[in-house]
Amino acid sequence: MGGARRARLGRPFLLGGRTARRVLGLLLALLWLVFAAAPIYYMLIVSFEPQSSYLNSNPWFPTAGVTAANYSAVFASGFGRYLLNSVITTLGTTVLAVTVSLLAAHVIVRRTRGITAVIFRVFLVGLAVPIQALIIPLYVEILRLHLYNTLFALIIPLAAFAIPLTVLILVNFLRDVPRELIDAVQIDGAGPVRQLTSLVIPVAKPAITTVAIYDALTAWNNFLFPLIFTQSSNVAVLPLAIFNFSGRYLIDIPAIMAAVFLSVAPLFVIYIGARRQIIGGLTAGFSR
Amino acid sequence: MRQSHHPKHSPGNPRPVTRTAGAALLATAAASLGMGAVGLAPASATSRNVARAHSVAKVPITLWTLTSNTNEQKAETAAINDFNKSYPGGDVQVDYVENTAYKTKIAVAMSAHHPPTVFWTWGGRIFDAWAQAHQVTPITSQLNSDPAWKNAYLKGAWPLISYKGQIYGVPASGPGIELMFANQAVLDKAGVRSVPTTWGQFMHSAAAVKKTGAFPISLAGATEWPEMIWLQYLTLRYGGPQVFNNIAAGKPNAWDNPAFLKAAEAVQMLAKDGYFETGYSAVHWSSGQTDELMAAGKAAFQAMGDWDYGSMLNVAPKFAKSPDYKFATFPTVPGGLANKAVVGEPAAYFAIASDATPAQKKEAVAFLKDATTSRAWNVNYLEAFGNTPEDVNYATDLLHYTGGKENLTFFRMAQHATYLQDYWDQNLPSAVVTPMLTDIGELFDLSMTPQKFVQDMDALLAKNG
Amino acid sequence: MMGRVVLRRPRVTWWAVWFMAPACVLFAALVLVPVVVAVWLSFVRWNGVGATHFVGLSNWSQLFSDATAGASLERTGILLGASWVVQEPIAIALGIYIAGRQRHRAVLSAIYFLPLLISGAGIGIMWQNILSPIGGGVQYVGAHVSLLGFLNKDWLGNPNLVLGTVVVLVAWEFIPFHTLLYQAGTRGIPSVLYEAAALDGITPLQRIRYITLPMLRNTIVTSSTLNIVGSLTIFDVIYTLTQGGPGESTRVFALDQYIVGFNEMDFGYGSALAVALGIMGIAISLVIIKVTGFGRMRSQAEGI
Repeated sequence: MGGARRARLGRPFLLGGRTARRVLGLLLALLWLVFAAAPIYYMLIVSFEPQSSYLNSNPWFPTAGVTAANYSAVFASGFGRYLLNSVITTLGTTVLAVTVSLLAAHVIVRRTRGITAVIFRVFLVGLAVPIQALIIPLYVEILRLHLYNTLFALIIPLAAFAIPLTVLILVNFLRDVPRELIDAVQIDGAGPVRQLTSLVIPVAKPAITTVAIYDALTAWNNFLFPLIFTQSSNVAVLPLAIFNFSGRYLIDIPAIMAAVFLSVAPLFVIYIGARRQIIGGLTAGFSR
Repeated sequence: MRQSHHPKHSPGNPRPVTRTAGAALLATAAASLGMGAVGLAPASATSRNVARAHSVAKVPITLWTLTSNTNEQKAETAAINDFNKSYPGGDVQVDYVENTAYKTKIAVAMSAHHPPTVFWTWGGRIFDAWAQAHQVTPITSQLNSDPAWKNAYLKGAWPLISYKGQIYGVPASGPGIELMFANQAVLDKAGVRSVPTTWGQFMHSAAAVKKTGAFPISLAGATEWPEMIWLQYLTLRYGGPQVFNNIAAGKPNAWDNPAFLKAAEAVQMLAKDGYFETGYSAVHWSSGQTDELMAAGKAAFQAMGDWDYGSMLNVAPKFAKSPDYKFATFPTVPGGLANKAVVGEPAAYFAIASDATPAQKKEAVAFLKDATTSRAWNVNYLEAFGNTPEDVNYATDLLHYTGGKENLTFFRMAQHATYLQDYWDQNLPSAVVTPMLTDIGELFDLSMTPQKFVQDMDALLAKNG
Repeated sequence: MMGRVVLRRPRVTWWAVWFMAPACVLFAALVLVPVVVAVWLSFVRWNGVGATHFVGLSNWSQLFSDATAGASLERTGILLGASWVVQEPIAIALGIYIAGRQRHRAVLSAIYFLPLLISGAGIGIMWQNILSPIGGGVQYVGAHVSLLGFLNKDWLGNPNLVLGTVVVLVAWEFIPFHTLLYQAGTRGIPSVLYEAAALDGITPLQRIRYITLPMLRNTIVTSSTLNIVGSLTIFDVIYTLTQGGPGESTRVFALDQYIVGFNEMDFGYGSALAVALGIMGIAISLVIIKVTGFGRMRSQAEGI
């Protein structure tokens, strides 16, 4: 819907048929809103309930009083450390995956035959490899590389598994960069590195943002790698920490809900602050 | 069951050792990457290096154990710190692993020949495979040369942690036995005077409770082990120990036994009559849901391990301390072959992996002895969470703690049981256990007939027994 | 100029090698090598300790007669099909709706996006409590609001309902992402098309039917590919929500493979299941790539 339509859409509820349609659309949209938001609201309410009253009261309203005790329990359990670990893992994975994928994608769009084409197809096939199928061989490798129980044991395999989709999206985007533009830069005498920094990266910025956000979300939420490749609480990341927390506070569901909520709270904050950029960025590379 | 006894079992602690060099290297690498060593290398690398500056003889050993509640963990950490101070070069480093994930983690670590030095285990068949592959270290001679140490534990505890005459570990937690818990207030409303002791009385009371609108039975069926308690007790009562012993021995068609079929039909009858609470297949014991039902007077009975007492103290302290919260042994059956036998576990254990240096093994053995017989490990956290001790010498100390009288009763029941049958899922090969638990779930939600169960399980047994 | 052209050939090759190397090394070491090991494991018997025994094709022949694996494959098929049928139309509708630039739509889209921020593990834990038969919020509403009485069901405990519940939760988790794709796709449609159509006097529904949907073709392919491959390998949510239960009601193929490997300690057969899962995923993506030209090496703009 372009700008021209916007002006017209700005005055709803004037024409009968269109109004009905618009109301219907809004109703359906609100219905989905309830479905999307209700569980999160529920989690928030329960997380402030005193544990003793949780099962006996209406879980949708804080009828039995409000307490922050659940949150202090979560913080006392080392939340800050897990948060820091998650941030390091996410940044490390994203930077590594995007860098190597960008380098590869730059070659793939320029050399469409022979071995490069084969490698690209192998990457594509990698899209469908289920992570949990490879956990034992990976575990042995992580040990051999002396990465076990470090954040590198998460960053490196996460980045490797992110390569297929990252390369695919970057290639899809980059191949629409006019060949003449690259040739023109080349004629200026720019080497491959300068081509990359002065042309490809600026041009591909939307796609880079997209894959960076996508890879970051994937790394942030990964559960299986931390479960198997780390053991100490000082290298635990948030998804594992909330799982451990739910094992430790078995019967304390409000505290578990507080832990789940806190594990997404940093993202909520970032998201609220930079929603436009994130949503725009997440989709720019897909839309071309 | 293993899966969930959590509260009960929960010892220990250490951490990784063998990869010190790698860890140090990584710490350096991380620093040079400008990422800070914060979480990139195990923090233990740093603390270990500091420790080394003071005393060169530190021998770090790792300990994996189950995540438990905060109070238990605090007591355990204290015991470990004591050991590290008193043992020359002692450096036990603990990692707590979440219950559901533990089995996977320890299995993967063993497969990759990278286990912790000391680890928590339920013993049984899985453990036998490690012993057979020489991945765990026997401690028979050390135990035999120290009778006071060996006799500190219940005699019945040894078989589960032994393989071909060798002992591979020591109890790390006290015994746990399965009982029938009840809410007397609910029974009163149904005109039932006391917790029924025979199956006939039980069925009669259940029907009476049902009429009052309460659920006769509170059942946590989301994980199948609480369902297994019913099936295992009834099979044991009807047919005696031999029924399961034949199954465990892999004898052909061992499941196809009238006692088992009778037990399976009995539990299906409970399901068909609507005696379990609505939605029991999605209810977890570990989240306190079944205890909550009991405490709220919405259910009359729950067959559960004695640790439910400690759990109830947390979920509903008022009810736990009231005279309405009752327990009794599982009902007997007419003409039963094992009406006095008890289902439970004599202990859970610590064992030592073979992939360790002699100095580490020596320290590990000393730790096993000191920690599991220490006051901290046995009774220090009792005030906050009921539990039975693994060291018999502390049994009478229980009386000084909240719920101690009950816990001592449980301990004595295990100690003096004429026959204590360990959980089914402990004594079968892993290839059989998971399908068995799944099928038990299907028996209870009535999507499988007892005959089909027997057929499936016998086929599986023939292949894996 | 001429000299440069002659020289360029070898130089281009070398930088290309250096540019490709990091991604190739990383991918080969941590994806391809484990794949090869997994394939090898599928031909041995190994309980995780002790020696491995070569057993030829016996794991594979077991696979074809394994009723549990067959049933879990069927569940994966249902989940995959249902997820596509449920998620795509809703995501397209929502995507087109929030592509409008009114303020309230921006607010709505901000909230729609929230589930995407929660990890699969967190989602499993959260929903397990919301749908709990004891104290669960959904059943509470069902029991207290007569209009919504249908909510008072045993969503996680009834073997006949629970797979449907999983479909809904997976939709809750992933529709936001697909919605965003469609929002971006819709906004990328040149407005001249609509203006031309407006002159022809077509209705809004016709506009969607004849302009928006055809123009979203690429997005539909992208979204469907990610959706199908994602459904095939979905694990975290089901693992934390039901562990495959009750009974086997939610044991999808990816979970079956994990259970055989890690709970039954049968790494050989578990690997055969893993390889089978991988082959299915690859086959499906190859078909999609073939049929749609997704991932093609050329584009109209490239001019080679």
